[in-house]
Amino acid sequence: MTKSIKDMRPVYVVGIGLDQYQRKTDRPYVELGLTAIRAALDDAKLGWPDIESFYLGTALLGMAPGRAMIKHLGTTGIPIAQVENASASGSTSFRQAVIDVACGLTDVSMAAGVDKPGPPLRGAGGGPRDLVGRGTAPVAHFALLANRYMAQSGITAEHLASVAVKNHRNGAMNPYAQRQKVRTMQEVLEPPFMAGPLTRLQCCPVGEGAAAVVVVSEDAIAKFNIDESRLVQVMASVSGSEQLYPPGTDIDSELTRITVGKAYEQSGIGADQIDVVELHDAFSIEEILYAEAMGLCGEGEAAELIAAGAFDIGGRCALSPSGGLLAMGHPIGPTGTGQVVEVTRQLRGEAGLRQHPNAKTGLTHMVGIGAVCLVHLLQAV
Amino acid sequence: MAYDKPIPSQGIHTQPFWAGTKEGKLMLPRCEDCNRVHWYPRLICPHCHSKNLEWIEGSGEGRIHTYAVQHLAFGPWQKETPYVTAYIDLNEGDRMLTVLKGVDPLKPEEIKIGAKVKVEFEEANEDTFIPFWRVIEE
Repeated sequence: MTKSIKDMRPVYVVGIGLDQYQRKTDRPYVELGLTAIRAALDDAKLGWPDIESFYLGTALLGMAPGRAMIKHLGTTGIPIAQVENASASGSTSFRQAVIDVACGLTDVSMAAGVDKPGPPLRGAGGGPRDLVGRGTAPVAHFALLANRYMAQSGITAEHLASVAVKNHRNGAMNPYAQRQKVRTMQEVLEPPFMAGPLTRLQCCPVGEGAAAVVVVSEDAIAKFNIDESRLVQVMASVSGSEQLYPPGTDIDSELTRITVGKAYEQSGIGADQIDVVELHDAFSIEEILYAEAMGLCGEGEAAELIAAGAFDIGGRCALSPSGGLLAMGHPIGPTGTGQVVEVTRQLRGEAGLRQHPNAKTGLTHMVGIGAVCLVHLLQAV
Repeated sequence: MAYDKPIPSQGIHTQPFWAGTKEGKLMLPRCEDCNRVHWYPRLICPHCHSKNLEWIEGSGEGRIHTYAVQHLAFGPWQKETPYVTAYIDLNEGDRMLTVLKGVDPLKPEEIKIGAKVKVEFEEANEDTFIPFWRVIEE
């Protein structure tokens, strides 16, 4: 009989930290990562020697970058590992830390993510599968999905662009975001077009950044006298990959539907209870597809609801309150960990100008090439 | 002009496909146990995991599932932008990503989802002919 996170030891997020997502600078990755890690330790009021295991989500830095970074904090002999899972690397490092604490392998674990832009080394491809694939950017696939969705649902270019208008507005209130400018509908719709209907501001920027999160057990909360008023509990942790779907199924939506569905089932939390969501909005169309796949609204309804403000901060549920990948940015390794940082801030009521009122339950969601999907449910205690 | 785009690698399990392209045939893998066609070629059937696969000559026809004008590309494809990619629903089943020929990337509104398309092959080198698709009827 297998178990889910909910059946094991409770796990709590008690420390969060970020280094601002931004265009590539001359700063070494070590500096970015340490900034986020120290912020997370300070937030938890813990020291590096208290960390019993460490996972680093990274996809672009090459072999074993973690040790070279954390040696500046002290050499404590703990288990460490790099976690590479494409765009979901930082979500997967978080899940590994959660698993350690849930199983009782550790009482205090840290997940982090750090990356700087560079050419990724891709796994095996080639053959007839890649008749044109190697020539196209990731945006190519999502432009194809966007045109299909627009033709089927009858939504306009403005509906699609409203995702980017909302997320830039949120990002403008986030000091850690790569894009911190409010953008009008007209600005979002302006060329250059990247692919299909997707303009530049409907595609996420890939820059540098870092994020870190400390997770602990109840034993650690007692031992370190951690402030119980700020606790956020991990209610579900689900990791999945693509499987064979019936002919004609939209793979991207279905993978999210199944993974999120498992998280709802394991935790007993329903879509109608979700207050804040950080999802994989690398391209504007994705937020529409995933909001529907998550059951936050009916099929074909998301675009009009987003345009009408239903998913604004203060709306029925805040989608991408950090600005999401579109405005906060998508530095790859840190992104998934950074989503946990934002949702934790929201559930603590510490999100300042971006605060969604009465946020009690949040969801994080990343997908990555492969194709993989990672979902976590978090709840204020 | 010589074909200057990336040329897909060949393997034992894809050899019948490439051999077909040289003769202008779209060869497709089909499972002898569950009778379903799949794209791209694999060593086992992705539907039922059987190893009993055969090759059939496809009709070379299908319909546009969706399309998009590409303004951003890498390598030698870069100089072709804007060009149009599409997912083709093959008449035999499953879906293929392609570059659409004979359409105007500056007038995407003229391209119709559901339009009938036919395959054609372009010589990349003496062993490799790459399939592209062309709209034959709206």
